[in-house]
Amino acid sequence: MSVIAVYNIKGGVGKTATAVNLSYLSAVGGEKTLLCDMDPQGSSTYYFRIRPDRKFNTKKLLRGGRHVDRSIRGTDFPGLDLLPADFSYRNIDIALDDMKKSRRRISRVLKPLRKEYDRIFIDCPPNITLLSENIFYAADYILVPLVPTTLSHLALQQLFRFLEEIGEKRSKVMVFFSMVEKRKKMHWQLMRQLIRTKNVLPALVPYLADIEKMGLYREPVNVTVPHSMAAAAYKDLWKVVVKRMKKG
Amino acid sequence: MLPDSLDLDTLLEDLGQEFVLRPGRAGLLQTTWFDSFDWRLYKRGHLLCHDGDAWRLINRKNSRLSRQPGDLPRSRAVFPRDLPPSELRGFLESTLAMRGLLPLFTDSMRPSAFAVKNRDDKTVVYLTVEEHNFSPPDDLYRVIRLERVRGYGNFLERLERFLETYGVRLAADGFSFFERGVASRGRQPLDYSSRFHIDLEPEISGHRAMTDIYLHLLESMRRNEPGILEDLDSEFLHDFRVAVRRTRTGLAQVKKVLSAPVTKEFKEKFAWLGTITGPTRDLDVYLLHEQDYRSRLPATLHDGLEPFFSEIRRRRAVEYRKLVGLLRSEKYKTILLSWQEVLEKGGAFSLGVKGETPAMELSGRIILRKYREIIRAGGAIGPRSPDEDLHRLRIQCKKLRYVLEFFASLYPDREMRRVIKELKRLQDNLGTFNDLSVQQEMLRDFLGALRPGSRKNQKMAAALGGLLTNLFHEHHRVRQDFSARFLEFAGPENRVLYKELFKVGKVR
Repeated sequence: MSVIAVYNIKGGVGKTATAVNLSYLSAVGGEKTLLCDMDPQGSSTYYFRIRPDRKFNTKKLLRGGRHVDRSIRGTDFPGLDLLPADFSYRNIDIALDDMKKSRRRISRVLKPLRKEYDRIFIDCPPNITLLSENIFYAADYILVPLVPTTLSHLALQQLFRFLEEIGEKRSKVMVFFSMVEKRKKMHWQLMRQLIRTKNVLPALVPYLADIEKMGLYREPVNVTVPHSMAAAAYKDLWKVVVKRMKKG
Repeated sequence: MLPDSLDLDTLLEDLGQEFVLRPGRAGLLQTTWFDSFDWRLYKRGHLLCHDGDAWRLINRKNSRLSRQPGDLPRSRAVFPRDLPPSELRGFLESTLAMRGLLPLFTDSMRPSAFAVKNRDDKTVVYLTVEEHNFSPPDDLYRVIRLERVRGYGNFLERLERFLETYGVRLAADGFSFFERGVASRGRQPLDYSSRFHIDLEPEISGHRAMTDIYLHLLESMRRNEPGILEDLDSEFLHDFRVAVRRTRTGLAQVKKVLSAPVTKEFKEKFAWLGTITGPTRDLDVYLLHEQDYRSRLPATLHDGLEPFFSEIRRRRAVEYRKLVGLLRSEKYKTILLSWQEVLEKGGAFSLGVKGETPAMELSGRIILRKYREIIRAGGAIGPRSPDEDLHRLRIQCKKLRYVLEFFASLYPDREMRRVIKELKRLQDNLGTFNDLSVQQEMLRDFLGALRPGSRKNQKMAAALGGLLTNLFHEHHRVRQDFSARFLEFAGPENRVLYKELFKVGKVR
């Protein structure tokens, strides 16, 4: 059992695509998988053609137990369920702040689900907040899609600093390169520079039209275009992630 | 479950009007289903099949499936040890113990899968039409399987209501075809159990009761006979022998219910059946100990066991051939036929002087007599008593047990279960003690007959010596346990229980 949070401070780095495609591959591999969409935009939810439960909101999420249980939806793929996002999540920090043990709330919500599922993915909102802190605490791994630019690099340093501040281990972090453009020399330079870092995985997902089109087909790329480069890239990435998790 | 008269295309067309259906994969799945003769998997809520490439074990309670790739062995009975080591094999080993898996039926299933969609083109229910064909005979069985998608229960309910209007009955679970497939080969789940159970009318006469019991036991012999002749697993012969022993106990203990000449004649005939089946069974028992013997010895001595067991196997093959010859003989067939005739048509000719006495009265007397015998004999056994005394006590307990089981339905269920449980605890001790004695004796004989000199025999002697030591220690331990067990059995609580239950003339 492991909980993987897909996270980046910046938006638009291929985070949701990663969560959707990897959770799908995890389920295909025979692991009972749950994807928690914690991003108020609800993109993961949308990709799986699921409409959020009108009766579900931040309050119910944080209460956990059967309130969460009732809102989980099966996707079109065997072994893969989804906990839909709700727009009210945008104010989740305020709700968390009012609570006791506000840093461990999400971990508590996930506890019963850890028994039911072999793997849980969390699609995180792009910011550093109390919610992120909650998620970092709950997660066994933090998977960071990184667009190889200078600014992203800085954001990564920020993340490491933040983890240190809240007393979380840096070793939870797994970084991979996302939206890589072959033609951009700067991408290559930065990747060469970073690949030696301990937390960086030897895997990359290029910038590809098939991934962009996921919003159109509303399916993982391994379903829509199973023989595409995009599908192969996610398969590769998943293999590398699994291998790293096995090492512990 | 679909009514036979229902046209599938019409149903699907009508369904399409009401719901958005996306056809998925169709195909053909051929499976052969297995269980032991006494339904050990079914009893524990499991179903097992082989799909051509792999074994599939289904836990019926939660529909969980475990699949283990592997070929189907070509033997008539499959043993867990024929499968590659895996979790599935471990489960089968512990559930089946010494029983083999026998094919029950073969199912050719054509599934047509559909995904039921909502307005977002999201799948909300999976619907599969399964056409099962059990061959032979050609028996078509159609099922619609609905699989819910989490969070979309309302669609499932709507669909179920829709199907009900077409006369589709909902099965208890997705595996109702299993019972149907078993029935297509003339069997029923749980149609055989090695445990003895018969329901007797409370006022039944001794003669009527014993006739029913003997017929029941005869049926058990007949049902086990084919499995012995095909040599499927060791338990067919075992159960056959138990039925013979029970019959003999009946003839010897429930006296004068059948006429004297009949009793005398069949006592001898069933004694003969006991004798001819003995040698093969004895050797089977050693073979069943193979794993156990290995675990009693250090790995360095394992080599010596190989020639020992191959010799046992050779002897067993010889004895088994003899047994098959005898079971095919006219003498054997005549015994069973004439016994059946006596029981079914014997009438006045077979009726003994106590035939009309109520079974309740007879059984109470016999049970109390046996119980007192055991108390007396067991009480006389001290730490220095010879082993033979314990063996005799074991036989007496066995007889009491059989008689209790014959008449169990005449007495209150809860008390009867307690009586049998207490007796069983004592029997377990005595049984283990006897097994260990017999094994040691056999090993000693085997060792004594070994000619020294060869390297092979030297290794074998070392292994047998090691085993003897190990068995001796356990034998000693079991012997020491005896007195405590016996005191429990002979205790005042049990004594009162027997008196209350079996005292003749007591009005209940």
